[in-house]
Amino acid sequence: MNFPFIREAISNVFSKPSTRNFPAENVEAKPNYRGRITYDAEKCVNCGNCVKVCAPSAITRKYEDVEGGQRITYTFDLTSCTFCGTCQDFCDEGAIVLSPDYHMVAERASDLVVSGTRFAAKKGKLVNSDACVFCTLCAKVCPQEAITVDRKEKLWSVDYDKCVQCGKCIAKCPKKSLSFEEA
Amino acid sequence: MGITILRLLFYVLIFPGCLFVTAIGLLLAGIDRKVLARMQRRVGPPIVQPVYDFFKLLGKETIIPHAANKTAFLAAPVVGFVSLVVLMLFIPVFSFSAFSGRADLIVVLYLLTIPGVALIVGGSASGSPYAGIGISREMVTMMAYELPLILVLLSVAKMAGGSALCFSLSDIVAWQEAHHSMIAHWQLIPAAVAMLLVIPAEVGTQPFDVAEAETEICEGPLIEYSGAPLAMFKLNTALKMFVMTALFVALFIGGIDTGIVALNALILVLLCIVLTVLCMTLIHAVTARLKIEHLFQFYWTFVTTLATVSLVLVWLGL
Amino acid sequence: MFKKMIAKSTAKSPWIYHINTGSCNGCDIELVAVLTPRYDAERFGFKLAGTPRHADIVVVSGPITSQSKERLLRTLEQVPEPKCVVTIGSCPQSGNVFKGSYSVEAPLEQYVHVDVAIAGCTPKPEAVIEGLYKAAEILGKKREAMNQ
Repeated sequence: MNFPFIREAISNVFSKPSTRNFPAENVEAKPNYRGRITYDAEKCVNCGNCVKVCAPSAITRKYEDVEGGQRITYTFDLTSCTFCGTCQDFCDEGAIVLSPDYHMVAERASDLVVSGTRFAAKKGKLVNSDACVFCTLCAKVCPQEAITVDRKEKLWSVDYDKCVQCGKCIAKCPKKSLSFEEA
Repeated sequence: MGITILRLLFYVLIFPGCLFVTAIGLLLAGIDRKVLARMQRRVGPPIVQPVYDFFKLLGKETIIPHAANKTAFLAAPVVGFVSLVVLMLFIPVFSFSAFSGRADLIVVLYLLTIPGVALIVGGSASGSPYAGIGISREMVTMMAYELPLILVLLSVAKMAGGSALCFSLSDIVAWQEAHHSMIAHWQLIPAAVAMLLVIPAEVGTQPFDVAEAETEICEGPLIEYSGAPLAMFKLNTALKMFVMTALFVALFIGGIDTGIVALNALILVLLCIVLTVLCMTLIHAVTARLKIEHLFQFYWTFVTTLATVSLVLVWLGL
Repeated sequence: MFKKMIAKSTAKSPWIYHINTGSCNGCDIELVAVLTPRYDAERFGFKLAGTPRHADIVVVSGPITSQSKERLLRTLEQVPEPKCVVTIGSCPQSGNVFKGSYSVEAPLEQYVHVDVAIAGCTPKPEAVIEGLYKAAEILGKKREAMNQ
């Protein structure tokens, strides 16, 4: 029989406990901690990458048609989220940020939902011009895979049903060939 | 006549009966939890935490399982509580003792088994298989610590009685006042150590709580208990802490007497706190739970040897 | 006064029973971390109970697999009133990444009322303490409601 901790136990009685006085004093999470999602609707271009990459499908998108355009609502269900941060990584505009706020305690599940709504004015159709060199960058960048480019046949086409008018192809185009056609 | 009954009622209900043991028992349990937490570098619960636990359990719903024998299931904790209160009436607070008789040490020995038996009866009445394992372990634990306990009591009785055995607790305390406390006699030091090791097993604290191991057999005999009966069992554990340490004080440190009952009681409580921290909290903090066969082996070899050494030394009159 | 004392004690002595319904063990570890010296939930009277009969707060983790669903519901029925159900992590609330699987019957809300949901995957121990503390307050209120 030996009791290796007997001295430690006695000395601990006379030393300060190592307990944090937590609910009385708030404890900040470490930097880069992935907590509550913050969503800035104004920065969002509605590319839908986050919806696509979300493994537990915690992100949903809703359209409402209003006069002169549509209202787009993104909803982040924190009770579904795995806090992996992939949506943040895939958001080129920086609209989604996982903040270090970890106080996510609620009596109702509806309190654990983050959402943001943005009004998007109707833009014209995406059109190509003669400057196009069929480099396929626009097809690669398109989150909806709406653009198809055939380099051999020199054909460029867009599926307007799929296009969400995020404008990423326009920003990416090295020849400034793409644009929205004014209706 | 009337005054005698009133006095007896006072003894049973207030001091040193019901109210006194309950209050001090809960205090000891609270101090045990607090000091244990401090030994593990935690802040720990407030000292009144056992009181909160007790009142909370009183307010909870009491569920009686279908398989249970209702009467035995509900009576067991009460029997345990009553036996502990009666036990305290027999244990002298230095020169003061509520009940005293020629052979109250034997009565104490018998009464000490009743809380354990109550746990066994309650557990077996609940009809749960986990309780079955728990009560078999509780029985083995009782067998393990009874032998050294009897040897310790015998050596104390022999020391106080001289040529004959003295089984009266108040006589033992009186002998200690005339001579020195038992602990001051070197022959009895092994017996005192053995008694200190018997206390945690009797109470059922950490290394010796095999019967109620909550992580392996879901608190054993207590598995089906909820609400008020569970509150009584938790109270019984707290009372056992006080009764066992008070018995130790009466047997081994009985020589300090101030003459004033209230002051005596205060000294008793202080000594009980010291003993609780020493023999229950400290051992709890530095050890992990034993297996039942190791517990049995420990008591029947190490502790029994200590008690026997004392008994032989006293018997030889060294 | 006695009833008031009971209601006050109920909020101050919540015993936890933890049930794992197919969790990945992350939330289970964080719940145990709450009882370690650094966080020490015993300050508020929290104690890990060994059986559902002793429990006040039932902490559920995991996405409720088909195998564990019946056992979970049976366990919840064994807990004496007043009781609180706390879900820890995303899984019991929605199924998390397992949602839609043939063997996961996730939202716990469809079987019993969930009193407190702690979100996170896994939540920090601080968040768990916060959630349990909130559950203890609800427990006291439930006991007070039983008095009337």
